[in-house]
Amino acid sequence: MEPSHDPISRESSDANLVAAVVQGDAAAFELLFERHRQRVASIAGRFFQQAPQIEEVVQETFIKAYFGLANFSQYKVDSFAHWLARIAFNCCYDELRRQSRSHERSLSDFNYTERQELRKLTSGMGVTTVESAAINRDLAHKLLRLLSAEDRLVLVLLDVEGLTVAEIARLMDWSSAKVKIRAFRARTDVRRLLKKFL
Amino acid sequence: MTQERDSISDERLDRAGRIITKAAILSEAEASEIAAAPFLFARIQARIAAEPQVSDAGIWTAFWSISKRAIPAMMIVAALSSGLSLYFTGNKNQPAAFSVDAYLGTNESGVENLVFAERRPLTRDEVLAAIISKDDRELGR
Repeated sequence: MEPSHDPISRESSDANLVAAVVQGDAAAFELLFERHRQRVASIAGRFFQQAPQIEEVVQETFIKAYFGLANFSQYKVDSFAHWLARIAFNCCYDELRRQSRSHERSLSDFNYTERQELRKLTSGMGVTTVESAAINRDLAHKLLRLLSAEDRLVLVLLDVEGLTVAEIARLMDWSSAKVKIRAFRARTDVRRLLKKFL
Repeated sequence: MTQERDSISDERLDRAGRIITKAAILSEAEASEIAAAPFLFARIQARIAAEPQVSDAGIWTAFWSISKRAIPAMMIVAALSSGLSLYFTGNKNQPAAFSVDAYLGTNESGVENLVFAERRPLTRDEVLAAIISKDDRELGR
């Protein structure tokens, strides 16, 4: 269906806003940003916990979307939101790869208390308070940083987003075989890491 | 029995892995707070406005970075090829392993022997002298 060219408003559909942005309407892009920024930040929050990192992913995602909007109709996607989510996941993946190049971590980075906390967390024995959740998140991040960017991405898409292999393949433009191999490797790596704690 | 224990252990580790992965994510409220950061859209607009300049500069940066690697490589290739051509040109004056004389059997003939034995080309004077001497011999007969 062709988007109508009515004046844009907060009630305009994504398709109409996209058409307006392509015609140079900056206000329409701001409306798209307002509508989708929380979802993009939420996707970034699956991988990063620092505000500057998340803001960077949000910015990068919307900049890529802006420059890709002219060809948006060529992408075979269900909706703008789905297309934006794909860009956001790819931005997170790029950021993870950048981080994994600059950070070399090892199990020795975990002290005795952190190992004990991890044991409690994975056994479900920990008391869940706001503070303990924050501590647990730090620890979980520290552990997940030991994994490769691909492993982390696949684990989040499988376990947090609850996507199927076919959906991940479509989202990341990978083959199903690649997703299955990545998932297998990611699980094996997590087991290998956790065996040292549990 | 051992396989069963291993699979139980794997299940436990997978469950622990899922807990860790879920524990690492930011809550919706926190993500929402970060998404509402002031001037976030202004920063995006500024970066979009700066993007064409960056990409123009990017072309020259890429060109320069490629040149930095390509020019020394091309110089090495040029030096090597000129060195090799000099080496092989210099070797031309040395006797070849394969002798044309031996192949053609010119050692047994008269004038041809002289011609093939000489590797340098004959001068005009030498050719003229050979013709005159031949004519003189024929006249002498």
